Amino acid sequence: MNKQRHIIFFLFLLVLVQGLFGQPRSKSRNISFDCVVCHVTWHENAQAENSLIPKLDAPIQIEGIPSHIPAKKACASCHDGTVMDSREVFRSNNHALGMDMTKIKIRDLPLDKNKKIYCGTCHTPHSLKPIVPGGLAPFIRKEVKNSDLCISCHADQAEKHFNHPIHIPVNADHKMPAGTFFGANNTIECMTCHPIHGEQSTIGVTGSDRSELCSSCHESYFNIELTDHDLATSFKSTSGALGPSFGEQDACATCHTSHGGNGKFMWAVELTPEDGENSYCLGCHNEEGLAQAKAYPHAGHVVNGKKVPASVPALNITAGEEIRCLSCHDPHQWEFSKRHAVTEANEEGTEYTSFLRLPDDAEGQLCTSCHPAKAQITASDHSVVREGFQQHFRNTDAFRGQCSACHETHGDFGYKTNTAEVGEDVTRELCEFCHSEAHYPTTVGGLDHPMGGDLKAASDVLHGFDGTITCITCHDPHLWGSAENTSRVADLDGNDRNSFLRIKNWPEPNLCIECHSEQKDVIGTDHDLGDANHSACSFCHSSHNARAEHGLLRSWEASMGNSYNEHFCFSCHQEGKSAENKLPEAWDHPHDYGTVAKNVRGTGDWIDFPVFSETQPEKVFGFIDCFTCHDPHKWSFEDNLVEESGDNNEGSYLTSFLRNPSHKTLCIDCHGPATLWKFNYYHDPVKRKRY
Amino acid sequence: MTSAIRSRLFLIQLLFLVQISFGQNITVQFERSVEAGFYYPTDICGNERGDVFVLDGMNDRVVEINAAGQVRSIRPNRGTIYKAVGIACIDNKIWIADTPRSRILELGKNGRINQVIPLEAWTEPVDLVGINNQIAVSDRANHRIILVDSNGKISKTWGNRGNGLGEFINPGLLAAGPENRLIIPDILNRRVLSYSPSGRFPQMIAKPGAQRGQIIRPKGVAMNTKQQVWISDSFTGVLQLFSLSGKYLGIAAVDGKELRLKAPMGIWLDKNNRIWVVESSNDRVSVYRLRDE
Repeated sequence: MNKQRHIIFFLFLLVLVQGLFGQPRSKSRNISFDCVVCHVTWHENAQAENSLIPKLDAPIQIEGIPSHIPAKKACASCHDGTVMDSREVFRSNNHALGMDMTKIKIRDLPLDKNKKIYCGTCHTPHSLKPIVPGGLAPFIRKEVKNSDLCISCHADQAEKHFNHPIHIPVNADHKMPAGTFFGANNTIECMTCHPIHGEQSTIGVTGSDRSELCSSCHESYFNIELTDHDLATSFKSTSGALGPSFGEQDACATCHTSHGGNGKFMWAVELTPEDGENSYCLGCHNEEGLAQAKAYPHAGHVVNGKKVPASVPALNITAGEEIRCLSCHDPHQWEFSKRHAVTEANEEGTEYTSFLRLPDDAEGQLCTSCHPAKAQITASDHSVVREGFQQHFRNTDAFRGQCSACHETHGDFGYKTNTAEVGEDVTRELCEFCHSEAHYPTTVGGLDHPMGGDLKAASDVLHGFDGTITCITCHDPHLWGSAENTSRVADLDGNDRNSFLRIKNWPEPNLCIECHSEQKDVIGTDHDLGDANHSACSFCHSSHNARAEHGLLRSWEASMGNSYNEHFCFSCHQEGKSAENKLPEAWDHPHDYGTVAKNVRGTGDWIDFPVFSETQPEKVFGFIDCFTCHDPHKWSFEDNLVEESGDNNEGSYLTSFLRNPSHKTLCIDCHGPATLWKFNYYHDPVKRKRY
Repeated sequence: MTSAIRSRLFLIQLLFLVQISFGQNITVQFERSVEAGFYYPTDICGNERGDVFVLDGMNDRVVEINAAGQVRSIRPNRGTIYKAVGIACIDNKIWIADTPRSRILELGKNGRINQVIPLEAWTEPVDLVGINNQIAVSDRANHRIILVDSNGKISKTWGNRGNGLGEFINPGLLAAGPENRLIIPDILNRRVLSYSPSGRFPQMIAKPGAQRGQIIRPKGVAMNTKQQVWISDSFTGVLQLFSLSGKYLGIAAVDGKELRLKAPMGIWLDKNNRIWVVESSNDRVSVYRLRDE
């Protein structure tokens, strides 16, 4: 009996243990305690009449028994917050179930018996691969951290160049909601924008609700709102290639599409081969486009894809990048500092707005980012902050930026001009707009260096307008001085060291001799009178407002002489002046005896000598003056006879700044065999009388 | 152990096994449902005045249904109780287990947070109940019970992950039993037990299984005046009644058919012999009058 009691008690314990822990039984499998947590139909007597497990006609069956596991209800029985919290997930229908998959290439994922998506297509409770240290995958069949699961079906929407990139780091200051999915190393993946489950439905969005998603990472682009580029506002009643009705789109969707777009900015329309990436802009900014009022003239600053040689951090341009419209313009911000609120559509732009990436302010920020050498204009008299400019601006509505005051980026000429026709020198017009009597004290237009001459024949270094000499041939209006770079003092009197000269002209007159190379022999002679402010050239010559047109002689003091040349020479060659030890006692050829010029005399074996009127050289008939026999730039016609400056060498018939040896002078025409004697004693009145 | 004692034990156990099969339908009558724009509500509690409070955590609020049947929201600052799971009425105060933020807090009826008791890091409080001047908190992350004393200090924790006595796999929505006992649904162990507040003297109330008198996903528990325990099962959707000693007493039925609710969670018995059930997936609270227990 005692033995029987023990057996009964042992059996009781078995029943009790089973009762306590509900260990299920199975006919065909080794079912653990954990299995029945989900596989509820594997409970003992689960199919019995009094079973509480509801009947289910599930499309997924395991060994012929409809499976409860993929049913939402089964998941919710734990994921209701008490075990895990997936309530947001359950409320979502983002990724629809039951989709027809016959037209999609699905890779390595199961479908239900009707060949449709069910929960188990993506999920399996038996996949517990760690995705983070110590963590478990949420029962996903494939890796989601690298979008592999999504790409199994949506491969075409992950291709580069047509879709928003994935696997790239998300902005550190993104505003995506808490709980947003990111890949390993905080990369953007499919599920970052397309939460498969959740309250927020963002799958496939193209309408007005997409802005919130886009702005989470691209917040700065939303400065576009209410600008003319916000097509959903500015063209809300318009339909076009970008969409059926802009008014129903968000600000992004009118121009961009996240999948299947064109170009690196996921443009919503085709890019044309001729315009390339500029098609973004030119699609509207043409004479028939939405922005026809601001049609691009295909002129002005180059935007044709020329490569930028060096990086421009201020404009976020890297070396080798092509120059495009977007190099200077940010279509998403009307005003660079974002302080400027757009108040009305089609607002006329200024140098601070106009969708410029940087303003063309007093510092010329935009332009000098790429053209830093031009930035020195800001410290010169050419700066727009100068009073002269400010007075001018008061009466105009012109752009007032440091650069845009003179340059027109999209104009036909590149410069501001009101009157110039094609072929006219617009640069000269621009300079003279200010440097004329009406506008500015530094006027030109008197006796100035001749303009319009063939520059190519003179210099291959300097440039002009259409190959001819103009203001900018000698002047760089951005740079006050190449020797002394800056000037913050207004209305400086310039000299050879500055004056916006393009080539340094002091102490050596490099700018002048670039074209006038034959006059460079004056350097180092007693006629090289350069000082602290003047070079050898400018001591005698003045490029602007000269006193004499011929030679642009600067000025002379009251002195003897019959012509400008003689006046000029005697300014020094007189008592008390620098050349007082070289005073010609007799010098003037009688004006009763003029002579004809080379053209009239015809050819001969003599070397020609110029003849002059009172003011200028004469081509027909003139008089002999100092310059007839003397070339003040050349000590000797013999190249090997050089005079050092300050030597005050006594000249001879081979030197003395004489143009030629006496036996080949025009003097022979009149004086015959006595010419030599007359010539030798020309400046000696006693000897002259003797002959 | 004498043979007489063994025989008695055997008989007791035999009775225990047999009584599982003898549960009857307990007729309930649908009285009303409250649909106040809920979004997966989870838990419910009531105070002595007859006011009922439903935790609508996904909407950041508590919904009050006062004794007169009027409904209003108690809404703290946005995000304060987002995704909270459990609620308890303790001394006429509303306490909330703020699950994601590892804390419990007292919510005033004006929406202000009157008191916050932080718990340890990595704690995920599911529910709480006042017991013996303490607050007992179930912790889904660590499968344990936390006791917080009247000063807001953690006085004791007990339990860990497992399927033995004193162990849990996800303790759920709590209720207070007689003699300061805790009634604890042990969700993934599919059982309900009662313990002393310190975790001693376990008493099985409901066991796992797919048949009547057994449970699969025990969620809400509530004790009636007869010291019997109603248990909601969020998988099968039924409400079953057990004695504290584990005797199966019956299943709620309407018109002779088992009452099947959609994901029932927290339950509350009011003074008027009505049972309030939070139907989480249905976004509503249903009220049934108990006709025969």
